[in-house]
Amino acid sequence: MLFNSFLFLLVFLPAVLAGSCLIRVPRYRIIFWTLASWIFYGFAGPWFVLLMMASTGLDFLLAQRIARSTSPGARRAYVITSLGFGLGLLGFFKYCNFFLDTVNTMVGALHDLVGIPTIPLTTSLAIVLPAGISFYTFETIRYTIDVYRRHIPPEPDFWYFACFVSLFPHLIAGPIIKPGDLLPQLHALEPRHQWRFQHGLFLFAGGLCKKVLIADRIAVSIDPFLFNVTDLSMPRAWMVMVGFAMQIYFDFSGYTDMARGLGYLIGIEFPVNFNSPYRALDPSDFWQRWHITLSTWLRDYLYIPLGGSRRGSLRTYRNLMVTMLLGGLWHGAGWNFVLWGGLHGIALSVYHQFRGYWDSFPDTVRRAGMFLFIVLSWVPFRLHNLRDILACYRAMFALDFSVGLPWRLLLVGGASTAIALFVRRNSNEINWAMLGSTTAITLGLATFITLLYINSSTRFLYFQF
Amino acid sequence: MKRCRAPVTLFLLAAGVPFVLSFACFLISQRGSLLTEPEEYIAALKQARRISYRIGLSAWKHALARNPLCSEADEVVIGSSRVREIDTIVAGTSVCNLYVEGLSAPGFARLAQALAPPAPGEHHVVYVGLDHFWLWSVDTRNFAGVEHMLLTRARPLWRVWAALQPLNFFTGSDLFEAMRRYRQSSPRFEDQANGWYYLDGHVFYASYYAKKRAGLHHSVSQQEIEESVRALFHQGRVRESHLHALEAGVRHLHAKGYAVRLFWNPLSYAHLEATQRLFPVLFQQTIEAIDRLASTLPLDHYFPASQTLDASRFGCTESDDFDELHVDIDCLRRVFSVAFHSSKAHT
Repeated sequence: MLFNSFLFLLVFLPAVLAGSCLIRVPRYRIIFWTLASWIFYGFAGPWFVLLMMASTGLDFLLAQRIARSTSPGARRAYVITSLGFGLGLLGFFKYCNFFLDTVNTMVGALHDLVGIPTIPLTTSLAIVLPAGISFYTFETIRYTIDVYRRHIPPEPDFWYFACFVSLFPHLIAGPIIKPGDLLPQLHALEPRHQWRFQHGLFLFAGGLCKKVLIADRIAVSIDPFLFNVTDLSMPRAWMVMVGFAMQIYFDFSGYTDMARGLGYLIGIEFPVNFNSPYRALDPSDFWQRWHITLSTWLRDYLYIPLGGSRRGSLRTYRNLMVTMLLGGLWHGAGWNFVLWGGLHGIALSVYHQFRGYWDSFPDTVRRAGMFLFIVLSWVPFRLHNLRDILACYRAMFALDFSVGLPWRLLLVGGASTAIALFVRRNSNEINWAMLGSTTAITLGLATFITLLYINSSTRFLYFQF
Repeated sequence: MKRCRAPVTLFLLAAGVPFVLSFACFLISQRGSLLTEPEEYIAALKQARRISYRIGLSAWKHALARNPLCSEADEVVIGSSRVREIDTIVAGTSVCNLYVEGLSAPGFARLAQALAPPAPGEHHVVYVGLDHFWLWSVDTRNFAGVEHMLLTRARPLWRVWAALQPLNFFTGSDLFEAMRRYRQSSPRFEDQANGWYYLDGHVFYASYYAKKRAGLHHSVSQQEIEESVRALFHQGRVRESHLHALEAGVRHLHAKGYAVRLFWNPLSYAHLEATQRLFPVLFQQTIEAIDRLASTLPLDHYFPASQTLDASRFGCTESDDFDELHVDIDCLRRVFSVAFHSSKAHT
């Protein structure tokens, strides 16, 4: 079930809100939310729910054991089991075919190079990637590690833990929640349902408009060009990639706004995930503005455990590269995502080395330079094979002005770029509860147009991750 | 719970009222196809002879199967959209066409179950047009869904359900298209791009044939053909349950007194070649599975794939391809007259 569907808007959401208001016992409300979230998730595939329940149950039990156990060895064994299961699930469902294909390619290359007779060792399996697995696996991993590190106590009630993992607003594409943020909010629920209705409703509507009216419109304009990047002229190539930069931002931040808006409707505050990322001044700033909950996770559970920036420049660069390469791989099982992560790793390392020099430029120059880099880095993210990636870069720098400009893309892409770069307040900074009548009517009319086109809306881009 | 304030009310009014009005306009303009009960639709067809809109195909064909119009016809045709244009002229006798788009074996079994038996002593034939995807495609949504349950048990609820169904697909473009059609309420016969629907269940695409007679033919690209083949065969496999459904359907028809003739729907040469090239194993497995099954069934006649699958054997050319999936009525006419009518003469 998608947030941008009438089934969700007219049936699921009203039912959940009605249940939330009617159920006066907080624990029962938690159980209700968990069951509703499982139903919500079941629309993606019934067996996905079983998989998530298994992961939830195992991590719940292992966290209890970790907390109760006094032996360091046993505690380590439990946490390794939990990590092994979580990463194993992720590895199998997300990376198995990637691994097999890579082995096959390497075996083939070896055969071509050396002439040794080889047989294809493996064949790709028909594995369906369960929706949201990358997100909830990172949340359960964070939970067991936090319990292991004694940063948080284990959750004693299964339903509360299950609700933390599966609560529908953040289940499919984040934000990636910290247990220390959400579980206390769940425990603090009051008998009478507390919501921030206007704030939640308007934030949700704003996110829906971002997705349907901006991201989907841009997608319609750029997708035909991306089918054949070899034919792109320079202006078109740039416009298409700037268009994609806007599409992915408005798509994902639209989803996050909807998730956060839903959170307010059920009385929960989810963390901010985007903060005007295209206004970033440097690579480090970008990662504090783009997919913030993922970059925080990578920082806390990968970069810092690797040593962070504590052991000299070379170790710092290595840690940055490892973190970003794995961050790229998290987004998708493909070498293009690794390349995308690698580009950001290099940018972070270079910035780390020349920070003083870069920071001496005026903000406008730094912002423009950073935006240019981000647009270039989206090329391997969007195009999945090396031939297309190189063709797109060639087109972007080929000085070929032969083909005219696609005016629709220029209009939609230009407007969205202006919003992303120049509008001062983003959706996190607007006090939606204080909006006046005129703005409410304007947002209502935009929502009306959005509803008219909701059935032609595409899936959220981040659902594939 | 904090009290809702005026901006929320204004927002909901600004978003909701125009949407409800737009949706209501769409429903009113499309009420013929969205809200007409199947029996009403058949009655309207009796009166008008042909209609430019249609209701849900499975509901219509279920009602038609139970209607005396079908049991009194000399020949009944059941199949996917590939048999949609078969009419009296093609068959050479009175016909009831129970085609349903995307029909596969389970849907066929349900139609066979619904079909009223012929009058005692009368010899009626059912032609069953097979497609490869009959053995894997899932069409139960058409036949076992809420719609059928409500149609048989709770008509008022069906109306509510039918009115809400367009929420699954309604967009602004549909609204504008509906308004455009509403303004042009009486299209000329040959301008009707979406087809005319007839009482016997067949459809006729007047504008396609008007263009074809005028020498205008849209040729289908190889890429379009390959994409359509991939869409049909991707993740396909011979399912035992579908073979059982096919068997059950044939036995139902036989038990009701119909002479059942199974044939493979003719395909254009390009489509056939692409299928054999892209999915050679599945292509052959499916044919063999049905060949085996056919030998055990109480059939009046089985026309194996080697006889009817390749439309070019009947002189059909590229100009007889309706689109990447279907051959047109000129080709079907040849297939019927050569393969079926000559076999009728033999039997």
